[in-house]
Amino acid sequence: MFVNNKKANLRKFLGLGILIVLGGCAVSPPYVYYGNTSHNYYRYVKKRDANSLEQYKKSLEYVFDYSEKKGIKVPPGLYCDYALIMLTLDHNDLAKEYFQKEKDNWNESQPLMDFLLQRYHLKE
Amino acid sequence: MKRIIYLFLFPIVLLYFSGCAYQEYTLLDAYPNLYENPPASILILPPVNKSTAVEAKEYFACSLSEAIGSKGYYTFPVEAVFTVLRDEGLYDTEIYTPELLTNLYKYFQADAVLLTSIEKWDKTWFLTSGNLQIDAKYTLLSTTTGEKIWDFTSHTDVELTSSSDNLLVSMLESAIKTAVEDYFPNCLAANKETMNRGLPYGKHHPLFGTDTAYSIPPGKTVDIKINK
Repeated sequence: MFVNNKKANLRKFLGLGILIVLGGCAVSPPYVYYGNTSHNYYRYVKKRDANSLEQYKKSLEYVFDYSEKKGIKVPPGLYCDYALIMLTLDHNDLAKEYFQKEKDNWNESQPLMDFLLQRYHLKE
Repeated sequence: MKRIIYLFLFPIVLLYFSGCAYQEYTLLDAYPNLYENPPASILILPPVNKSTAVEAKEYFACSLSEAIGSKGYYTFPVEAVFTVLRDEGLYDTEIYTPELLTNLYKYFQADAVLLTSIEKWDKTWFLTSGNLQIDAKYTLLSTTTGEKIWDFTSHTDVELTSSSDNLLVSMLESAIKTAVEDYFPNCLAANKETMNRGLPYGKHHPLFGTDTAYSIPPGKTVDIKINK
């Protein structure tokens, strides 16, 4: 009886040990995910054409989707960049929505977002 | 008896001298002001380009946000900030006086501003291999006190080699690579590695406050090697 108990305890300890080791090996999700946004932003800065703007827009949308799926925050500034793209494309309502998202997501952005909403006449 | 005394003394003397030779220098030792009043938000100012490569400024301007944002700081959106600075005639400013810092605080309410100086951006190539050297200095200033709260220097070496076995093709490939290559990924990798090695975690990062005992490279300088 005692020997059986000892074996069972040993198995429990081993199982626990393996779980701890595997838990340590599991990759923790990144704090924020930028994808290719920085590189596409650089290409847009260099070219300032419709194609590079579209590429940058798509890479931002990918990061928004990815972040939502992973339950992580969208990196600082990216909602604001998307809002500026929307302004370029004359989608003022969407621009306003994304300036607001930046504000809601990052408290520190509030003064700049309010300034930009005012600057682009998007504030009621 | 003497022998026993020597035997005891020897390790003590050894320990003493080894203590002198290697002194642990931690992030907390290097940046006490940053830990005392940690900034949550950083305003990245247009980098000052002291190199002869015009493109270096844009490489840095577009990659610093990700490098610092990944460390847990709110980085103000570069496109919006640079537009405002251009409108205010501050885009090419290189000297930041306390009055100017106060004005920046008024506009953005950033806790700190990042000044970056690109000291060197040199591309060289010889026969089948090319090389890019990037030297940069980074400084964080508090917008409320004007004090320097963090500074760091990086030297990056990017090796560019050809994949071809043919010498002539290899030489041509190397020369073209060095001349027209898009160096953005290298610049981003260099800036990320710099921040990983020298910048403490910011308030938004889950590891904030856990890095005080991390050792820091001597002279707050890091050497980075990148192979393409």
